Amino acid sequence: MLKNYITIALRNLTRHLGYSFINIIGLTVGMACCVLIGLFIQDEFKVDGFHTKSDRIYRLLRETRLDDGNTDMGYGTSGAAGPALKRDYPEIETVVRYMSWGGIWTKHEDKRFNQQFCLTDPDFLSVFDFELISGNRETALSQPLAVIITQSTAQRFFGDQNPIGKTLSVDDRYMGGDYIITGVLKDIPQQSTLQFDILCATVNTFWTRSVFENWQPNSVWRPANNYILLREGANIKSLEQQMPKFMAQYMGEEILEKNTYFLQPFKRIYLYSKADYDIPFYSDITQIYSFATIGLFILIIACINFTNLATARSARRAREVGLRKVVGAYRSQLIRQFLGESFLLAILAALLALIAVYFSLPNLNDFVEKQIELSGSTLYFTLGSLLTLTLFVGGLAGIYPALFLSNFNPARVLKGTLAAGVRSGRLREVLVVFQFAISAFLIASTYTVYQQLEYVRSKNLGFNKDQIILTNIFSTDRLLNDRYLNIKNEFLQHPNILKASASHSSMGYGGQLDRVFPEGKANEEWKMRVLGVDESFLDTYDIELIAGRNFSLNIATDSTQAFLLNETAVKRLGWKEPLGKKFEWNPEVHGSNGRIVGIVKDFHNRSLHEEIQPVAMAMWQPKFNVLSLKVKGQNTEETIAYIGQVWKRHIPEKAFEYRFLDEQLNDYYQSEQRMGALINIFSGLAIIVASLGLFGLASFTAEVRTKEIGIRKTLGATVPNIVLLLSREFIILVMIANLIAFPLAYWAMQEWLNSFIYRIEIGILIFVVSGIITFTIALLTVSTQAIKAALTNPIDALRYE
Amino acid sequence: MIQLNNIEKYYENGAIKTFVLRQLNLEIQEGEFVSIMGPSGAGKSTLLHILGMLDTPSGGEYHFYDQPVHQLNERQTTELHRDHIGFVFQSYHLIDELTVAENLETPLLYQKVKSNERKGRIAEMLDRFNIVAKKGLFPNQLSGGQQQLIGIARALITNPKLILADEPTGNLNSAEGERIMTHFKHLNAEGVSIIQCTHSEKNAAYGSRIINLVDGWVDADERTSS
Ligand SMILES: Nc1ncnc2c1ncn2[C@@H]1O[C@H](COP(=O)(O)OP(=O)(O)O)[C@@H](O)[C@H]1O
Ligand SMILES: [Mg+2]
Repeated sequence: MLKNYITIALRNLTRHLGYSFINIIGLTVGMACCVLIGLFIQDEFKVDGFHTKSDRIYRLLRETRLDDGNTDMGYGTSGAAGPALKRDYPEIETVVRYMSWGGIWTKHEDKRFNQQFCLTDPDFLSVFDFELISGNRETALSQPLAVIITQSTAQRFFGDQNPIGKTLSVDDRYMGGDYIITGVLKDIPQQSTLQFDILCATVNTFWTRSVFENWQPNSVWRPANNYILLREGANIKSLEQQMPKFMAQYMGEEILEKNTYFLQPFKRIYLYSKADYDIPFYSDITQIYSFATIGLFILIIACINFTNLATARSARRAREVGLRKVVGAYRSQLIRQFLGESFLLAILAALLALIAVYFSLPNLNDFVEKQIELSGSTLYFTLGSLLTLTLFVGGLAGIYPALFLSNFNPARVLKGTLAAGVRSGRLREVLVVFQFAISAFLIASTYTVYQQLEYVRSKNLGFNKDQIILTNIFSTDRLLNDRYLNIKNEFLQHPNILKASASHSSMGYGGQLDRVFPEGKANEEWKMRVLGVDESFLDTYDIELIAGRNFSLNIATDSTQAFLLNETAVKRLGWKEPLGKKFEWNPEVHGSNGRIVGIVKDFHNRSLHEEIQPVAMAMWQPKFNVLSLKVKGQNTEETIAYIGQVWKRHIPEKAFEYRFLDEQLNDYYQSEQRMGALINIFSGLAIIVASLGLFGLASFTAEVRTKEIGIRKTLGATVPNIVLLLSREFIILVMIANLIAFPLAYWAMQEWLNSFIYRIEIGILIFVVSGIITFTIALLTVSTQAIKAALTNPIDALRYE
Repeated sequence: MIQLNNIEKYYENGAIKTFVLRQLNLEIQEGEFVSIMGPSGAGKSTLLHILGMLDTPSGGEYHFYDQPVHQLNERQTTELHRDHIGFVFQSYHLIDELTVAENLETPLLYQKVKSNERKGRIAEMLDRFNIVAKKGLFPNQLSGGQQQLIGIARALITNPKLILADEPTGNLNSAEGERIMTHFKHLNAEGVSIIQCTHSEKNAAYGSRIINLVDGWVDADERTSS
């Protein structure tokens, strides 16, 4: 019996290749997309999960309530908090501090590389499971000046030589020292939020000690993170409840009034930082939901195709059903037969999907910068989900056609009075509407996403970001700061270098948030981002001065006593006459005679994820890091070569590095642009699968109505008449689908846009576009079939019956 | 073997009932060869389908042997007709995707006949109808007469007690038709009961009893001399 079924199924498959192709390819694409999305999501959830103790690890967060009503949630906390917590609370097994220092130039003999340097506690390796290849896990970090490095770093410096016992020299105000390598770590997996090349547990300088070991309750610059390992069975809630007491005890009631400590589960850092604590960082769970939704949509569309095509095709199978009943088939046997066929298709699709996943995974990896491999748990996941999908699709999409087909009354089928299938499919119409509603929804959504990202890309930032080259020449050699004017001039000698400005930080980072003391606000705590800039910053960046004056080299006191404010700062301060008001910042350095000398128009010193905040600008020559060079659009290569020469003249021992500002700014939006593109791709696939289904359906309609078409043509119907006749039904369905999709898409996109501070308005255009696209797709797929049918010779059509 | 009491069949179209069979009473004994005649639309096919349990009457009672068919569920009637009745159709109704041999095999599969015995019976049928050479061909590679032979072979392969044939020669030329009728005659002689519908006086005459159906009524019911 099974052989009989398989024979029938295979012969049906090969005899109606077009149909089988549409069905299997649709399913394949659907399954492959689902699996790829699933792998991506699974990988996202795996981040930081590979540490055996990860469920017991928490990160200390500090929330600060600012006087302007905003709150500021940060994961940087006082370095002294860690040891105090460990000492005071028995339920805490240990605390490790972790301070990422970013890229630091590191040297061994004549080799120099920029490496991610991190400072931590000796306990680090007992809390986190990073794999040590050589060295002693317990003691590697406890010796003074010991560092452990990753395999890649070891390879980079020492090739195949054993790095243990070798020295790495770091020349840095905070991290400087000659370190001894005591261990090599396997490279940090990409599924880790902790990323570093070199790890050290020795506090070697006065500067580091100040941030790593002190409370500094009022400082806003807190680079240390505290990772708390709880004892097994300890209650995190009760510990969190004791945090106010802890804070008051060590930092005073005044700090407690405006600050709160939270304990963030380590495993939730990657996906839930935004959702739980509104820390815009890492990936975001809402993105995961979007992907899951699209994956589900694709699957639903593929299932609908499957069901629709099978029932549409029922006309062809009706006679077989009737006959089988005549020769004694139970209904249940027929149901089994047709379910079996749908499983066969599903299995074929699953096999193809497996191949597709295997070959497209590298592309996905490139795209989302992951390293997902099909092995171990991901392989089981892939096979498991394909099996589940096969059962799901084979069963769910197969059951309706099976019930539908097996229910035919043999007497009626064989008498030919049952024009089975094609025109009696109310359910099929509903499904087509559903399918196209999803497509219209996806089109409207992807279009909105695209527009929003485009808007962010092209938004006027309040300054000119074009043709600006950044080099960090001053941070590379502090001694150059004193001569910054000479160096600037040297660059400016080249005709293609138009303007130059030295500053503490670049646009995007946007200055450091710091305590300031505006006139008349002695009793309030004011914080602003303070940009350390030189006198040509406004000119170089085309920032508009709307009142007062710019910094001037001719006024000696400007270097310590002059401040510029942006409009927002003036507004927040409520100052009607801001010019000449007293303003203090960092009094130990700048003294107490500061004045506001000018007001600039607001500009986006930070990324567009953040609203424009109060900004103060000061000349802060000793802390210049960055040099911004405005260059001409032509001969850029030559200009860059010249910049390189000047660099070489001043700091010959260090490699020349530069970046274009617009590229650097783009980094802030890279992840969402990548996600946007990924959403586009998957939505596109969903729409293709949906149109495949419609194509198949249209061809069956045309086929079943061949006789009708033949008769109509002999009666004088023209080709357009017939095309219209065949297309009308689908066009109406697509119209209904759009009407259903619009309000849903509007609502969903409004929700999504709300997460952006600067966002587009959803206009009617989005719906016009998705309407036009769905109609075009529907019309193209349906009318090619209709035209084909309309063009056949009517005599052929009639003889066919 | 067959006992029909007040069998009715009507189709409802809104409030209007269209009767196809009205208060039909009929008794058919085992071993009879009955020809049902009547104009197109008289209800012949409908009657045959009801007899074959492929369709249910709107009212009345139907006994097949001692079984009250009108009281049985779908599964029971399927079993009953599967084991006792073979069908032959005007338009043959073979499964296009299966070869001749596979078409013959299908009823046996549903009867759960063992593989060896299936092979034997298929060979026997192919032999008996002289179509051994055709066993690997598909229906559309055969002439109408050949297809109908396969149709009959398929009906017979389960050794049914009753053959129901709905205008079995309607699509055949006269020579082909005659061959089919001769086959029926032989079968009947071997003890198989046959009920056929036909338009042709000549073919009807092969039977031992002719029932004339007009507008859902039995207009005449007579035994022939043959
Ligand atoms: N599904 C149906 N709905 C309505 N009327 C039907 C249906 N099937 C058959 N009929 C009607 O029943 C009558 C008898 O049909 P049938 O038994 O096929 O006649 P015959 O085989 O004698 O030509 C015809 O008038 C036909 O139109
Ligand atoms: Mg008939």
